[in-house]
Amino acid sequence: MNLRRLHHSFAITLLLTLMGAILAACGGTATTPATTAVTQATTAATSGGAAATTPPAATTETMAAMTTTAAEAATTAAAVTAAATTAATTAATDTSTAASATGTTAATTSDLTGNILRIGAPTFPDSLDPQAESFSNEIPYSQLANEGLTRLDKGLKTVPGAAESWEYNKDDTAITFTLRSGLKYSDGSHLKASDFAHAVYRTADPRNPGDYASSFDMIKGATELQSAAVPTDTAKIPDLRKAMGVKVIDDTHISFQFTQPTPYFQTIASTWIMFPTKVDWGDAKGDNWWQTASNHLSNGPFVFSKIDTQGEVLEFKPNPNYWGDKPKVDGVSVRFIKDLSVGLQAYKNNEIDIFGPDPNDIADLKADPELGQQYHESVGSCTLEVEFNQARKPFDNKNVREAFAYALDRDAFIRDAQKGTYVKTLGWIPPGFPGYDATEKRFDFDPAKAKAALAAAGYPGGKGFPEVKYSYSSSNPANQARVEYLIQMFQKNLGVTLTPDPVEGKTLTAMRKKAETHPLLNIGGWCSDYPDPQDWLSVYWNSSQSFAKVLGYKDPAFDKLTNAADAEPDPAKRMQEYLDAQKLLIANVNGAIFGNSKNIWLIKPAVQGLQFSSQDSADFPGSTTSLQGVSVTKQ
Amino acid sequence: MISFIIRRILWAIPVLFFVGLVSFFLMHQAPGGPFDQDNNRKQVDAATLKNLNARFGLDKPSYVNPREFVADWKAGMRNPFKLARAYVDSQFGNYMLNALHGDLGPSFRQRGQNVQDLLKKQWPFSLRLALIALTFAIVVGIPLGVVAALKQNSLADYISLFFATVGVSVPSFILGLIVIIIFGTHLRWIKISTNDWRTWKPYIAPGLVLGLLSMSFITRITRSTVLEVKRQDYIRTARAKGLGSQAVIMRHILRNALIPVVTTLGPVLLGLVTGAVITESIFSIPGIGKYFVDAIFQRDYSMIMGTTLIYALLLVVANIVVDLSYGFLDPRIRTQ
Amino acid sequence: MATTVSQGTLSQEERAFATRKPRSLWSDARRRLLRNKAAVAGLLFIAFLVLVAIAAPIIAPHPPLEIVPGNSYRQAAWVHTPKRLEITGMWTYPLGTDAIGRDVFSRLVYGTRTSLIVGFIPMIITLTIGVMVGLIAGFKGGLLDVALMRFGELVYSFPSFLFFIIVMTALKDTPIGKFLNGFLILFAA
Repeated sequence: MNLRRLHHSFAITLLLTLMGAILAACGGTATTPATTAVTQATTAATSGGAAATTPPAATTETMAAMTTTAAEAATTAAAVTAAATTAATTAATDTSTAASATGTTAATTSDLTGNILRIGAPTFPDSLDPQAESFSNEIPYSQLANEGLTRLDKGLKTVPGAAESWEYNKDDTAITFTLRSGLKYSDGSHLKASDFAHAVYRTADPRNPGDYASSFDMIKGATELQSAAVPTDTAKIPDLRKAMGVKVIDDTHISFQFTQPTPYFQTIASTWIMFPTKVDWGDAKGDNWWQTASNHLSNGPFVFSKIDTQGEVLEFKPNPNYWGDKPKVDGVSVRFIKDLSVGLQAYKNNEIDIFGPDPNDIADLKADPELGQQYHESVGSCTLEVEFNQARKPFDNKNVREAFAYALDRDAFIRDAQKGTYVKTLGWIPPGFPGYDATEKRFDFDPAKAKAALAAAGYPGGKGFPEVKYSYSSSNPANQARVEYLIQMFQKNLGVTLTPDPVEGKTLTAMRKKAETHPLLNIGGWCSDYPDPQDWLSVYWNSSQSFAKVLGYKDPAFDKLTNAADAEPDPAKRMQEYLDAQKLLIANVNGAIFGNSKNIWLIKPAVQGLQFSSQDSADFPGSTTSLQGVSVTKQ
Repeated sequence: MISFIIRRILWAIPVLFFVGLVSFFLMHQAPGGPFDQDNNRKQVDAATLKNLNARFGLDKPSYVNPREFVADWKAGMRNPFKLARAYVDSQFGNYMLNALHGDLGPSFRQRGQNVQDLLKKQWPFSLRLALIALTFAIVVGIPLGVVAALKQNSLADYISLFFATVGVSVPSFILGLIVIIIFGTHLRWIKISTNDWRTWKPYIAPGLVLGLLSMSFITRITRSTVLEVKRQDYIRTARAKGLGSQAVIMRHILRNALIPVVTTLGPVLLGLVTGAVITESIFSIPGIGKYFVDAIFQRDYSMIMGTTLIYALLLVVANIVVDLSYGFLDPRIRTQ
Repeated sequence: MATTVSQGTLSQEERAFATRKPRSLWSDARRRLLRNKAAVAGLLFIAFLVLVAIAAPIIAPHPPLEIVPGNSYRQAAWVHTPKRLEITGMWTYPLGTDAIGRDVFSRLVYGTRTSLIVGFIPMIITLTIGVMVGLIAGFKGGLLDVALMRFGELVYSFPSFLFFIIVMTALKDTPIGKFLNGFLILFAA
């Protein structure tokens, strides 16, 4: 009898431990070198008391068993168990496995004290290496801790950053920056001009291929470096670097030479890819150097005080060596809350100070007597439009495009389907950005004109209009209602028949790579990389660009204007050329432009001095100005 | 017994190979690649794309590499191992060979990090959550099921039915939100934005939410098996012998009724570890669940392959353990 | 002689049992089903859903796709918020409206069509294939059984979501794909 009972419990234990062991083995715990494992186990043991509260007895057994099994799998890892058992309890063993995985310490509670700004953000960054970042969940954090040669103020004007001044040559084919003297990193070491050259090298380095690798195409030799093949051309990389138009004159002077006039380079120098990287500092520590806070040398107002990629913790402290005004807060702590409804609860619970709520809640929030006071919105950096594939019938006909542009009731669409998260616009460059055209009023909602334009195109009352699919990404569930709303609007105002066409997100992206497969109708648009009309007009609608190509947009007059403006040294004349180009773009009905994105926030009254800017990330406000001047009154 | 285990392990090899092959085929058939950026973002240029493809081995042929084989042969290579290696020097071949060594390849999304490192880093969080959920499911589910079966149509029976219905029909994102609103916002028992995932306490609420479905599942299984065992002849014999009802229940009914329940625990735990995506997302737990879903949306090829292979491996192992535990628990099966 | 004796000893009930026509498999199954209260309740509910699905145009007060501008997120009819008249409940929209101002009750009624199809078609396919595989594995046994069980492991573990994406894309412009993609709209209109 007893023996059989033993069988029972044995089977259950076997089941649980085996599952654990297999999981552990899959993770490959066994590969940790013995020496580091010992030190880490000891660290974990010393901090173990604080880090791990005592787990329930049964599960401790399981954990211990699984560690043992994993260790048996490879002899090298035996030291983990040995060191841990001598040093600490089984609870600490658990922590040591966790700690040895990343090499981070296992402490979990916040190190920050004083007046802390607590930000609620949706997703933990995939990288914090400035030259590898490309997403709105990565860039703002680097913006807190770093500063380029220039920076943007809240009005998006390019102002001095690490450089106190800059000077172009006569035809704008070269620029020389003069750095502030005595600049220091957060660890006290000197910030040299060569560190900015290194940032450019790293961005264009073919061994580190990234989305923004081609951003420095205007610099001489950058394309050659970036298109060098790896590994066949790896040996040539040092020579290619030397051949580039990047000259470090001395510790405080650096100049860049361009293949063509580039009068907007000082704005590019404010972007995250230009954040300084000390020569061979990060790279020497391997691809994952950015996962450890102490590996980050900051030259911005803040410094990373804690990065825990495993537990998803991100904290900042003021940088004592920053040249400018010191931050008024004692620290910034970012809480990652994936679900917006949960984030709202955390905000109501006073666990976070800043939070971007779900657009569907806006009406309720505004109506709330308390939260309504804490609701803020700011215009973002994107322009959205209903895009037409102009390479294919029927949208190759300008009258059809006009009809659709006139048929779009922007006010109703933004109010009902977009929940007021857009600001109505009819021009391409958003307000607040250089090149914004406040006079643009063409193609606003007008059902009569819409019907007339459609009739002029040969489809009176929608008769004979071919079946058109309206494609949208089904990966975002909110899209369905929006598209059905739009379709009903077009059908009512034009008499045409449209079919909603849900497509999985990445599939839609793939379809949009070629004009032949690009959907006839879909919602698209552009978000700013840097505030210059070149980024909006030449990068998107010049017929040499992939975006214009896949949409079938080609206008020689527009190309001529943008090409001239890109190389025009006279700022006033340059701006006029861009404005003319934009007028032309709208006249061609590039799309049914409807709105600029809006960032919406809940901000506790204790937070003061936040500077909203259109270039801010949608993850939190004030990132462009590195949260300078923000204060929190002690709760 | 030993031969049974060996046989099953040998069977795992073709299973894993074909799981890899099918997922490889499927993910390359799906439109869009890992480096395709949406149109409102900066696009990867041709030169960089070439370097990216080279870096991640996407410049190799998909399944086999006869060209490499022929080239080596012409160069005078006659070593059959090296020739075979040249023949499988393809995306799929290289991936599977590396996977044999425990290398699941570099993640396309989290650049610079390997799939096995990412999973290894985050799985303890998922395991903790799963263990809490499983403990809850067992501790509540089995007694509830037993009582429900012994006293049919009693209050306990209806409670078990209620939980089973709720567990199956209320989606976990609704349940999770309700738990957060009640215990977080109103009662203030739990901290909503905790990042203290190296301790056990914050796992209790999500564990209950995640465990409810498993609990209702276990309750229903326990109830039906107990009902079945109750009607067996040997139970009548035991009663006829004059055994007290306590002894009959504990020694005869429970022991036999729990066999099917115990055998489901492996797959249940497997499901809890890998299938907690929604619970992990609601409670912001940095577990591995998200990798199983996001990888597919992002076309993170090595992550798709890695998660699929690991899941298949765990499933194979869970099935072996289940079949073994049958033998342990039921002597009738063991003798066969 | 012996038969008469034995017949004479049978009770009334036993005689009835012996002379009664043997029940067919199906009638036996039906009796068992009807005796199970839960099963009957389930059947009735499904029958109710089928009825609702068929009679949707009669039951639903609005067309399910009808969008009323400025009518978003109206609350259920019995919830009154005098301070915010734009969302206060009214019986025109018994369960309120959705994000773009469509009647939730009507969409719910029409939605039974989709739900029934989504519920039944895969179940029928699963049952057919599953029972066949099980029968083959059970009757043939041996290597085939083992192979089929391992095949089950294989199917169970490969990422089904990828499969959906491929099927959706591959069949996009075929009638089946259009049906799969568009049957929401197909049945709602």
